[in-house]
Amino acid sequence: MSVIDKKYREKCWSVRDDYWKCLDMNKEEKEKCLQFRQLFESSCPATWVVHFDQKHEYDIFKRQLALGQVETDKLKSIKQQPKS
Amino acid sequence: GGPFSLITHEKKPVTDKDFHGQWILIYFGFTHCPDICPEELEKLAEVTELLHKQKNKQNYPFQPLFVSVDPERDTPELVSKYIKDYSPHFIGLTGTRDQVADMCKHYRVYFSQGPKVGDDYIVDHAIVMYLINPNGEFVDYYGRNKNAKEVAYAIEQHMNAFKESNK
Repeated sequence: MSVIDKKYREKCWSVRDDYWKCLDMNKEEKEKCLQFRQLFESSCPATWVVHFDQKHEYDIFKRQLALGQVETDKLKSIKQQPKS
Repeated sequence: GGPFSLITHEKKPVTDKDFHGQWILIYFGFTHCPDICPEELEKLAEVTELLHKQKNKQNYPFQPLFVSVDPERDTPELVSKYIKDYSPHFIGLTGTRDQVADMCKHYRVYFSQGPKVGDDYIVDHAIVMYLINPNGEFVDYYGRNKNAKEVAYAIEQHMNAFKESNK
């Protein structure tokens, strides 16, 4: 089965969501979710794992921004980055 | 908008002229896409269903198109298998690298092969649906922020306006 199969994609998204749910319940402590992580990595292509990891980081950052939890130093360093 | 020359998922060569007389909504994507293309294609399928319900009010048929921005991997067979999961009405288009690059240039669609992990890679690309009228003219575009109902509604407005101006 490959990414071209709908069932494969849905399985990958489902185990990914389980992993994210675990992280959410464990304050993003990856050590507490190793089994979910293993399942996630074995159910999705490596490129998708990288992509979803980046998406997750970004989603958390957005959430923190909205909640006013991002430290001003971090914000400053982002503002200083050249615009792409 | 502009000219294009590609082949369908049934290996039939087509150009933009073959779609004159139809409303076409084009989504650019690739079969190895992790999440965005599946979401947008579900949306495109829903738009298609909504518009087909109003078929008898429309003078020209509505045709959704999927165009691959991953010519290296997306053969007609792969595209055919992929689009069938979303809608029986989709036509999938692919071609040589030059043909795809040419169309993307005319449609101002950015696409770029991302870093490889083994043999695999993700294609970074603009996320957009383009609406072309039965005269082959570019009319409108829709991004991720519009849902299926909003897109279908917008298209219906264009269809009505077109009908009026062509009486």
